[in-house]
Amino acid sequence: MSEERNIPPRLATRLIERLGNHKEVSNVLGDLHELHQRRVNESGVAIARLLYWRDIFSVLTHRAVKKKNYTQSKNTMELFYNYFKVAGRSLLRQKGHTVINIIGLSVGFAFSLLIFLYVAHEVSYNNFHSKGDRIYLLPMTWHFNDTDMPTGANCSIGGPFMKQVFPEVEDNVRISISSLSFYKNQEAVKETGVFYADSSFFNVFTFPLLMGDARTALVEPFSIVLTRVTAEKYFGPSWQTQNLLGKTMTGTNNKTYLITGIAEDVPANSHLNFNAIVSLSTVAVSKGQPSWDNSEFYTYLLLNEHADAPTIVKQIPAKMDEVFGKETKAVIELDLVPLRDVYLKNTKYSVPHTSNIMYVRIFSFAALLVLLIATINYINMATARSMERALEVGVRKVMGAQRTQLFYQFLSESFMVTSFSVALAIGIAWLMLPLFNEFSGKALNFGNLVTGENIVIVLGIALVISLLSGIYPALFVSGYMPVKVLKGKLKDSVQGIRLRKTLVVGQFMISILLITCTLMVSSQISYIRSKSLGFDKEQLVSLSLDSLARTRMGFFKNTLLSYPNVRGMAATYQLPTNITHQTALSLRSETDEERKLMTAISVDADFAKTIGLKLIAGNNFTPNIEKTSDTWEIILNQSAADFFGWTAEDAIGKQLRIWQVEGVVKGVVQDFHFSSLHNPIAPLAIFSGKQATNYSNLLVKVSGNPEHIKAQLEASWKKTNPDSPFILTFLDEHYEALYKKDTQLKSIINIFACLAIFISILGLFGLASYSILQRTRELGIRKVLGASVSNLVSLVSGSFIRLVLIAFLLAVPISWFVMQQWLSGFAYRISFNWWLVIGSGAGTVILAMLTVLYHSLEVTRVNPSETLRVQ
Amino acid sequence: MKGTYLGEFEEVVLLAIAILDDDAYGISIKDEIKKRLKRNPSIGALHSALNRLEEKGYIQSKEGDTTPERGGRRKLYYHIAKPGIRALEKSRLLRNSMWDAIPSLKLNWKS
Repeated sequence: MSEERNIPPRLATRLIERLGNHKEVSNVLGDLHELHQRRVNESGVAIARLLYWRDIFSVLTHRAVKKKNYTQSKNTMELFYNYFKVAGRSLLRQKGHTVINIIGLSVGFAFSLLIFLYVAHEVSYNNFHSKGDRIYLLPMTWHFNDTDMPTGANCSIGGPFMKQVFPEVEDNVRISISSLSFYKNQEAVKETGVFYADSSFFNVFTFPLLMGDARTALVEPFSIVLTRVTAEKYFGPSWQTQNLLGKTMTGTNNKTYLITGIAEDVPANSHLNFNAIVSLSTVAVSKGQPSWDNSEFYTYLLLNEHADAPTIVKQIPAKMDEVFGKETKAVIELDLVPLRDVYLKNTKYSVPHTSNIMYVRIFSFAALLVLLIATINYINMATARSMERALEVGVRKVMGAQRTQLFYQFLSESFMVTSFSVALAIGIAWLMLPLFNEFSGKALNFGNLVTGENIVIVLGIALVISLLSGIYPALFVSGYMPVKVLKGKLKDSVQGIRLRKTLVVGQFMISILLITCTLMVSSQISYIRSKSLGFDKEQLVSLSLDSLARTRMGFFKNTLLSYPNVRGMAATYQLPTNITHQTALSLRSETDEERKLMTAISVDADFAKTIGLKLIAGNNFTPNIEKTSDTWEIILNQSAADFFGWTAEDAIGKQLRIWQVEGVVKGVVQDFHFSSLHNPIAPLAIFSGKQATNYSNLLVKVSGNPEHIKAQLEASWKKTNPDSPFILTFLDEHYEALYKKDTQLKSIINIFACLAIFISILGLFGLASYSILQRTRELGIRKVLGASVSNLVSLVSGSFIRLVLIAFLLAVPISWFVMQQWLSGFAYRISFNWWLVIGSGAGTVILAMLTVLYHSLEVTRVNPSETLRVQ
Repeated sequence: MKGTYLGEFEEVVLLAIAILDDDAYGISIKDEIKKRLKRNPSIGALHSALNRLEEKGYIQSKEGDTTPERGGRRKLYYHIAKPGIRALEKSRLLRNSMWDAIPSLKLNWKS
């Protein structure tokens, strides 16, 4: 009789087994099995099987066996207690490995935690407005001929137009961001972040007022609302006891502002960042009717609950046509961006104090990678060491442990390690936070972020990590066959070794990738620093001019002329490191007029000389042109001449109109970098004349140490402009600021690369120590048979070094791809440097080699008689 | 009240266990009942009765050897406990006293 026929239907058996595995069930099944045997012999398999099924149902219908829940729950509790006890013991026994695991995991986790805080903060931007989901930014795009110019700011008429035309628009607020100087005890102090805003500001946004009436605070001209910090700055720490409402602030422009409200400080996660708000009516009075002339107002709309923003956007062109006519419609395009997207997800329109989702993604990804590397360490160590636990597993199984119980036991071990690491990580993160804030330019603090939601997320991540790191070893170890283990036949499985190797390759690949990226980013940044810009930004300082200082500028310049250390001065509208102002230039020919949009800057006569531009054709501005000429003198850069289709010589004498004022091209200068190297050099028009009155900076070229001259400059500034604040900045710093995000990226990737390589090496250290320990006797025998120390070392380290080499080969194309992506964001960049990749690979290999070498030397130095004696 | 009542099938099972003495386990009990009463109880009914008897404290069980025909599972041997014997005796006495109370049948039985 075949054996198979002896076995009753398995499915039927399962039905009963499901009830449990206690004594009664096994008894019933035993009886059934015995009956089955007899029936097979008596009446054949088919009938026996049929009867077996019938019996199974009779057992079920008679409830002949019951589930035993009540005793099991008690057992489980005790078992879990036991798991943790055993786990604790085994962790203590393998102190070295436990420490390696915990260090790796906690360091990785700490930094991921910091990144998590960062990301949580970034994502939380603007989430505090109670009507936030109904607030939209109203940006616009200018269409001039073939140039499109998107801008975050709208014209003065944009908001009112939308409110008038669309019933869905409940309210609109226009904000112009500026700065103002006030007197504080007779001394002029400059306030940045001064908003000029419509009275609807506090209706649309949620910025609670500590004093004053939110509805009327910004209605009257020359009303001002201060934040808590600003109030304290001007009225001392006891400002709350004084009744500030009705008091006044005096500006250096000799205007008096009436305090109508005190607002709570702006939350750190607001992109609208103000120190004071002045009623827009203050300036609107002088500016007349709203128009489509100038886009300078960040306009926000509050839509009603039923409004659908995309539908509104679609209807705008038709309404524009209706109200303003075809021409305006062709030039101006309006758009809506939800407030929640303004900070991270709006890349099209420039809005101050906003970021890019890309950074959030890069940082999260890097955090994930480091966490992964740390997890891999745990998996590798646990599976490698599982051989030592095999005996324990074998004995436990013989004593009746189920596989699931062993599984839970090993999982609880990883859970212990992870929870300990998480606790440690929170400590590390807390200590590192100030440092991290410096890098990221944020003011994160733990207190704000201890919310229920965040705690749940962190615990969730901890749980996932402990599962991730524990599940494979647990499955692996609990699957050992006790017979094999106890007979000592168990060898490390091929699969296990292969997995470990793959994981090590993965770890090192990530590390090499991160290192390569760090090196590339740093070399691009040092390239930016050393790149010749076409003008001399060294020893160039800028003094900011307010309206008052502007009128006295000529006098001030004259006083400075006598200073030996001052080599030149020039007033400009924007700083030459970052010229962004765009305007339309009209090119006049006999028949018609062509308008071209381009970057343009108003300066005074000494500009080109002061910053050291090189003329390639024509002449510099006529001296004192800014005081004498009613028409413009214009200097174009090479790109602008090309843009009009002229050679440099051709361009001289051409007629151009800017701001409805005639001008003539006086010279052409070599191209210079007037914005960040992310962008190619654009056409630029530099113009000067009497009509330009918007200078806001006075550039001073100095010789010697600028720090020394600072005091001299301040003294004479105070003498000439006692009512204007003295604000001196270095052009170098402005230039650095253009790459702030890039430098931040560099620092953070730098940290991550260090962490990744540290954790990987830590893991390799553990793995190597273990695998060499296992081969102690083999190495002893080899030594006895005449192998030299160098032979043995290369034998032992070879296998690990090979893995690192493979990792290197895999990392090369990936880093190439990633860095190409990043570099393509720069119009001026280094080429992909293969030496950097090879260097970082070689560095990693050497580091890995040293790690393995340490162990292999130790083991090969031992006298073989000692290793072989132990049986 | 639980533990005081002895059902008909339970009594049969209990008697079978008593008869089998040291060799009473599921299948042998089933066989004994089949042999003596010409009725074939289902395994479910039998084990359900055995469980009830054990709960009432009439029988006790003890694990025995495994045999290959049981698929490597242990036999569970039952033997009758003191309360079980008392219950059987009580039931028998009860019946006897009732038998004694029937005069006509007594006559029939004699002839």
